[in-house]
Amino acid sequence: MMSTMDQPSSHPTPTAKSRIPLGRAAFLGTIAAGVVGVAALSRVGGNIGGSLADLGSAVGAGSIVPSGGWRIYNVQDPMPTFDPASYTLTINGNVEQPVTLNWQAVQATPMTTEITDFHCVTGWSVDKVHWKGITAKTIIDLVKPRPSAQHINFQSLEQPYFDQLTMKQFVLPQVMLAVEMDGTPLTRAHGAPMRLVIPQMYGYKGVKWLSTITFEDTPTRGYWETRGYDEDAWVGHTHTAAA
Amino acid sequence: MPGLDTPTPLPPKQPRLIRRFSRAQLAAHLLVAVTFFVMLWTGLALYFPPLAEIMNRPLAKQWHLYASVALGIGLVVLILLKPRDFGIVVREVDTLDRADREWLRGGPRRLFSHVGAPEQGWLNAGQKLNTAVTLGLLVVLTFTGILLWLGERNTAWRFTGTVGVHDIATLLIIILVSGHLYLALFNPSTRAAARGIVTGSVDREWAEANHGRWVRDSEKQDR
Repeated sequence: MMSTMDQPSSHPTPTAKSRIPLGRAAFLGTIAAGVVGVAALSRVGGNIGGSLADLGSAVGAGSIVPSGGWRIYNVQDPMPTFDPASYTLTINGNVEQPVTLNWQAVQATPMTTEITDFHCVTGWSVDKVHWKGITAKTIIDLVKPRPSAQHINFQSLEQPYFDQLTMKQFVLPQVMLAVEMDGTPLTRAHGAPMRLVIPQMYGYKGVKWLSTITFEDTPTRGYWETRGYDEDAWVGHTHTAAA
Repeated sequence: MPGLDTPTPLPPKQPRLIRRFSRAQLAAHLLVAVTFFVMLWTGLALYFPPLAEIMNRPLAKQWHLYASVALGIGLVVLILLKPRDFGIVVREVDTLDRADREWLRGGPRRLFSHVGAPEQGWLNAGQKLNTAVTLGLLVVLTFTGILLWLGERNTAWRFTGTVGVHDIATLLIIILVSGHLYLALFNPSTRAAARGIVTGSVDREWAEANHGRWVRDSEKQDR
């Protein structure tokens, strides 16, 4: 037998003459707006992002407002500032020829260009990004790591951010230390003057504001890895176990 | 004289409370509320890197996914168990009658004062719109959430607009829920309704003043 609480009170509907399907219109209209929104935003891509990003920065929400399809994340404010006069890139560790390059020396190093897609672990992507930078092979030829040095630590000027790749990952095609993005020098928000680019992995592996590269014999978990992120951030293959 | 010795019969005493929501409706509201806040918190932890310092990503993702599945399955089960209770809600929310149109013409001031408001039925126009749009946003969040889930497995499912729409829908639903909570917990002329969504019953006096047509029609049906 049904208890009295199971029975809702009567909720008579008005006469048919005065009825307009308001709820249906609002419900279906909201869903339609969402579906059209995904299609429309995907079509115009990052083109609408510039002014929104400016607005976002003005209200202190710059990191979450897309600009050109990008969202900018950093772990410490303010972001590091690049000074060409004082910047150095140090490459050391278990290598035969450790080096410290000033900005002029970095620019004089042979560079190559790649066009790759960028995928962020939070769900957004930017297609066909034009990168220019120094390849892994060039770095390896420069410092000559010893055979036991199978792990490479990338330290950012943004303390305490760092991450690590294995030697096999570092020498993958299209991996580079980029100094230009889409035909212009890296901006401060994108990691000026130099960032790691590894298109096969999610963006958190691509250390920005790069300052030191250390070849090591043993692995070290990166900044986000110690906070639950996957160590090997393969796009399409990781970060799916939990979801 | 006949009747002199007979006391005048008093009208039957009305109970102080009147039932507004069934158990199934209360359970559905509780389910939406609990899973919403779990998804909001875990979603923020996935979204804002600084919050990932507090709750690690795999855990946030697990709970975000579990809460969304629990919401979907829970609602389907409740609807299957008590289709009539939810049919009533759908019919009520779907209907814009003359009183609703007058209520809407009164604009936002109706939210804060019922003075001069036309007599309302079970739900007023604001409650109907809130329910319909919130449910619509939940569908949008589910749709974009599934795209994000698929996009982690195959980048072909990654669309530039997915995260943006998920974000906008989240922002809108946060605004709606904030207003909903304010009206339910703080606004003097509406907070008496909160009792109804917790216990199922509301104060009769309040119901007569705010949803008079519903009270009158219910009593007609009960006779």
